[in-house]
Amino acid sequence: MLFDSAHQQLHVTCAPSLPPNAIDAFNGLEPAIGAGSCGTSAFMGIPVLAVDIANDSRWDHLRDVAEQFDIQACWSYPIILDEHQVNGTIAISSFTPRTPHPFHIKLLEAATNVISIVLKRVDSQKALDHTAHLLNNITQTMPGALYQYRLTANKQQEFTYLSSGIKQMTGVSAEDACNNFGLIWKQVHPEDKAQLWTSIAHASQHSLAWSHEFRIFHLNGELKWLRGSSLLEEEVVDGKQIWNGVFLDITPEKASIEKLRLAGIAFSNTNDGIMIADKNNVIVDINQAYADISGYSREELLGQSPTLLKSNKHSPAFYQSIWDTLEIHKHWQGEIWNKRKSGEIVPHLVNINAVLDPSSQELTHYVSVLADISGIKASEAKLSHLVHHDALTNLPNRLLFSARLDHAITHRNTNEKIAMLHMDLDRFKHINDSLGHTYGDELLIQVTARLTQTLNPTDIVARVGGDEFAILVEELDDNDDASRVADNIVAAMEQPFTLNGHDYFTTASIGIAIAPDHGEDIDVLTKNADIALNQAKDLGRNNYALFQPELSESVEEWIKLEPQLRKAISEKQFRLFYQPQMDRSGNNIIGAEALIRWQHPERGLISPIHFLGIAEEIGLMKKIGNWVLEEAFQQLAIWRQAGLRSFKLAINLASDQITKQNLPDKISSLLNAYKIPPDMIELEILETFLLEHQHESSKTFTELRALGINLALDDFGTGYSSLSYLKKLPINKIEIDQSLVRDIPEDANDEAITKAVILLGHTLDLKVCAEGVETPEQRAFLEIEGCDQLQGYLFSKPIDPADFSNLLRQHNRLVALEA
Amino acid sequence: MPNSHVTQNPKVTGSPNTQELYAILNFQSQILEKVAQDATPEQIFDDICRFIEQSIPACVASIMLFHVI
Repeated sequence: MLFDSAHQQLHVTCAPSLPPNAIDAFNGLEPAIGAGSCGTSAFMGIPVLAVDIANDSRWDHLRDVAEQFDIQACWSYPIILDEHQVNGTIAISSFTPRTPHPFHIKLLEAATNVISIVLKRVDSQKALDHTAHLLNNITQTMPGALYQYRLTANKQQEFTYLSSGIKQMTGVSAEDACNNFGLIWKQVHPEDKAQLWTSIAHASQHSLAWSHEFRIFHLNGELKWLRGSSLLEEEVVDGKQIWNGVFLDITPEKASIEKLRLAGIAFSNTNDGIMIADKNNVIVDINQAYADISGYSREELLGQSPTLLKSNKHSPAFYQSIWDTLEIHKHWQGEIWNKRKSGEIVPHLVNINAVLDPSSQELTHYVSVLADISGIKASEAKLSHLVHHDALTNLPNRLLFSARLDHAITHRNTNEKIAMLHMDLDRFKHINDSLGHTYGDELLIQVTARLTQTLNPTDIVARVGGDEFAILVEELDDNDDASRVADNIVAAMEQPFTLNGHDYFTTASIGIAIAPDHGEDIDVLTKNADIALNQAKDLGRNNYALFQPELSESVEEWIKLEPQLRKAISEKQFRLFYQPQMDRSGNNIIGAEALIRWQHPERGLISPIHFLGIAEEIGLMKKIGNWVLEEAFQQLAIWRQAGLRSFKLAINLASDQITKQNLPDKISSLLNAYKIPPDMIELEILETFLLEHQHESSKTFTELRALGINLALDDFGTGYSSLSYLKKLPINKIEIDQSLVRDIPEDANDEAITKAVILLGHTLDLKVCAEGVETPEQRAFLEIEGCDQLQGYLFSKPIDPADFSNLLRQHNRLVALEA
Repeated sequence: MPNSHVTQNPKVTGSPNTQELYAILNFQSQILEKVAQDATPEQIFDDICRFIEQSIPACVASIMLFHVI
């Protein structure tokens, strides 16, 4: 049986003379025996010639339709395209019973033949359309452009086919390119045209597969790389060749290759060492720089573990932390000390990246980039040295000293003490000023050498200022250890220094602060060493002093007094006390020194040493000094009225009084106001003031002398005065500082100096007064040496005006008028 | 299916005469010419049916196919 589907239906495809309702009646006819001539023919695959439908069993199922349309005979032939497939039927129907003639049969046979041809053609067209569609789909979705290219014997070129992909590559549509080959050719990069044509000609001549890469401009100006490949069809007709091939856009590939090429150049030529290890940390590649940096050759490193370079400078925990970081962040950067093949340990700055597979995200490699930073480290060390050291002496500077001190304090054992010594050269400024900086610098270098020789290697000595040094001594058992160190330094500095072929003397004053006794942080310890240094200077220089906590506390306390001090004048809280000055015998009062006291409403009487420093700092000295002048003149006027004669009242002058006002005018007006004879007034100037202001104040002193005022040089012997200016100054008297008198007769040096000062004074025709006379021995010594005047507790402490009045009375100095 | 129950085709003997053969030949030529001219199947089928109807008096020609073209 030819027909194998009961479910297929026949449709009336063509019946130009059948009425529509008849067409409707036959449409959808299912083939079967009995389903009319066509249904039976289609079912059986044979011609069915029903000559009298009324009596034909093959019409059993359709007899009513035949009757409806009065069809009485119907000859049907199956249309068979191949041996097995019935495609339909052609039928001739008659309205009377009718038997076909041979002509009718031949006509039907001829009709079925031509219908078969038409149907085959339709099928072929369908298959062709399908193939074209398929090909089109394929070429549309394929990357690049498929083409067919024809080359004629006279080298005429054309595309006989191009898939639409050519538009994306060149901007020229496939259709335009097929119509005009030149549209594509003119887009080819001019530099590539000759080679392209040569390659085509070569392939054509030798019938070889063609493949060539060339550049082409897209119509939008973009330059693309194309790779063309094609094969020659076998048949060559009339010298014409047909080539079938494909163009591929390889621009990204070329860019990648270029990138790789550049990366390769970078890999080979960078100064940084690059090492690639696999996921098991086995070295798979290195560049030349890595070989240079590590000292190992490429062959020695490949297959090895990077741990070959491990130095013993890092703990296993350090390396573990690198792995941990790589595990989490896939990246590590830091400094590693590695060991070169030579055994040299060098610092490397290392960047490690874990490389992951882009798709699976699994670890594939480690890439380490390594830079030798020995040079940087050395520069860093040099810079650090510069930052932390004094350029002149190469000693640590204040910064480094503070760091060391801080470290020492922090790491101090409980029972251990640490000393900070703050040293200052006593005569440095003088030497520097008189000899110049070159010798000043030379002196500092020599001082440094002596310090270094005197101290233990473990002690740290630093230059912390112009002529200031700081010394850190650790692991002390007690404070005396520190004192001994200071003592040694002072002793070492007492020896002369040779500068420019001459011997010069400078001595050292040292303040000592001990941790933990005097503080446990660098600021407190430094401050306290500084306070102790001032204490040492107060002791007369060339000396050292251990910090005394009680003094410091009082200083801090007094600083709080500043605002009260400012009010003290207006509140009339200052008092003048008077200390008598005796003649050489010590029996007669020849004058007095006016001394200021502060009658504090809460703290009682305060000594000037506790507030004059503050007053000076806050600029009150001129005001206070002038108050003293006014008060002293006023008191002297009272005593004069009481009969006092042949008396000199000594009044101390502050620097600001001399430099910041017209002092002679001031004194002149006071003399006038209180009607005081000028020879009863003696103004005391500090030796240290003269050292600093000698030149600008000499005119003032000359004017004062011209007024008839006496001038005395106070605290003589402490300021290293130049004898030459002593001679030039219009002074009448020098006062030997009490620090010199204090140790008489125990200290032979002080005795000698005192003797010399007296002698000097007398040589210059000056009166000499000794201050601070406290013992009969001192009085006797001074008397023997011919000291003109004596002042000190031996005779009287400073006393208030009322008590001084009584004292004057006892000495019969005020008797005359009271009588 | 036994043939006894199904009506059989009549036996058609003899051959068409020369005139008829020419007509058939002419018919085939005309139709193939149409095919060559890329006429649509619908036009060709219409021509076939009309030619048959013109050649045989008082009859109607029809073509039925399983697949609509």
